[in-house]
Amino acid sequence: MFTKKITLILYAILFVGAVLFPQIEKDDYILHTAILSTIFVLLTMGLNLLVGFTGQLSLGHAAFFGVGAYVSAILTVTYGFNFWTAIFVAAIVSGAFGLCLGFPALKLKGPYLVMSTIGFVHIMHELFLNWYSVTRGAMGIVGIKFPPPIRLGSWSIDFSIPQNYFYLTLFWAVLGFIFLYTVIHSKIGRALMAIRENDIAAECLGINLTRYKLFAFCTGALFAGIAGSLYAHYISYISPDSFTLAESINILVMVIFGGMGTLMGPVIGAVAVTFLLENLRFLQEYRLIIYGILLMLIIIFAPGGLMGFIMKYVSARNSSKADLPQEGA
Amino acid sequence: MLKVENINVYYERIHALKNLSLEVKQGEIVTILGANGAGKTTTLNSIIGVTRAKSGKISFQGIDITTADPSKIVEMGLAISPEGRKIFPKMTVYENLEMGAYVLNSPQRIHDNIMRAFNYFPVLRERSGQISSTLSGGEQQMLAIARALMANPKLLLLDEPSLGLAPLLVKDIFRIVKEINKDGVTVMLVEQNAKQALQIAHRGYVIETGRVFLEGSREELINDKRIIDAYLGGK
Repeated sequence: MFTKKITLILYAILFVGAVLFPQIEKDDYILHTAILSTIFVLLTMGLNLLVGFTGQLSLGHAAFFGVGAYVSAILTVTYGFNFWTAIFVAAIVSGAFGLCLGFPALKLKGPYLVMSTIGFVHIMHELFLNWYSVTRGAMGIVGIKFPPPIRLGSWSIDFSIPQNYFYLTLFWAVLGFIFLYTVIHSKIGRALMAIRENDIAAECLGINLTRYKLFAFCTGALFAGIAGSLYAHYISYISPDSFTLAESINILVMVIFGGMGTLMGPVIGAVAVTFLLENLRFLQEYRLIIYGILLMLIIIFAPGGLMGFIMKYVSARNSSKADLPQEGA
Repeated sequence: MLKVENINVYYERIHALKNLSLEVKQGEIVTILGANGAGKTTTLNSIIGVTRAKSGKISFQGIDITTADPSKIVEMGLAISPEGRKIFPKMTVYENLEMGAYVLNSPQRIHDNIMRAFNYFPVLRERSGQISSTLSGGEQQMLAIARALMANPKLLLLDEPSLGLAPLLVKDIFRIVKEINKDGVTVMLVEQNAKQALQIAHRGYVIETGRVFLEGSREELINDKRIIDAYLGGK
């Protein structure tokens, strides 16, 4: 397995690069962007499991993000729970919401599924906005604290320092990536991809559609829940406006930009789009126009996203056998 | 081996199968003939559990599978090569075959089954690393049958394997189906190509508008005037 070795080496290089990044780059603003992009990596990885690997197009991801953020914020600010408990509960609750959306989605395909997930985002947005006694409505929740420092003897990690918070979000992103890598290279991954390719054929081969589709919905939402919690405790303020359909679309764009249905694509997509949007700020109001044009160019010239583009180039170079990598490099 | 008793299937308000009964015995090739929309595919789909019968009973080796989950049914030894092939287009031939063995757990048996599939269909061995959407129609059909065989079925359901294929290829595929049957797999063959199907089948059913219109042995069907007129092109 020549290519497998190379991908694993590439993963290792990227990982080491990410770990060293805050040591080399001391600029707080760039670190801030890096933290946000790791949070988005969690979001895109979760959505990619659903959209890229299982073929269930969903625009509901921002709602799970919001559920994670709100659960974590309410638990810590209103009820005084510890951050570590809160992130755990946020993940579970968000995963449960994923199951709730998954059940009706089992019956729906294509545009109908997309519409029901859009409905879900709107419902959750209204809930955040109007359940005043719990979510404080449009005012949002303020004063969400950084996670408490971890102390090991005289040593302690203070998460209010951006470097350290970056390591916290990186830890979750890497954990998520390892989990996805294991899933995709297992029998479960094969089943998910079979459902994406042809669900009727998959069912005929004895793949339990209900179980695997729900698994994808639940896991995707769980990832978003963790991301939501990390987001809330970093930004320290959340309001319903952060979790709208526009945010869902933004996450989906990142997935497509990086390459749907590949493991590395969403990671690259999330980092690239987050940094791109920040670096285009000097263009002021023309920023989004340039961003839009770039997106169109990607779709036209690299329909498989950045990752698809790279893989095409690589496989063209070792053109020996037509054994295209399917489960993503 | 397989017994379908008085099943009724509805699509919304359309009554697709009306009190349909049929039986497949161990070792047979049974063909189901009929025109478009007669209910052939619906019959297969109800057996495998993708569509549900509203009433009636389906049993496989004495066990009631009327309401069983498709995944359970496949594990019991029923496999289907669905209509229109339905291969996984972006996977390689080899990966498609691996998917067919989804209910098996032993890597050794999966490997053995893949080798067996390659023996039946040597062209798949040559194409094993190829993305399956790039196969020709006939090769895709072979892949669909080979994939269904991967689960070690006792009863193999084939839904229109001749669909859209050149006559020469149809002959080839039917010859292999006969070979598979000789090796101990019972076959239920749904076909529109009555001429070819009756050449390899032991018995047959003719379905018309959701009902069994006629049943009999191969000889009976081949010599039946109504069959000759309606399905064998008259004489």
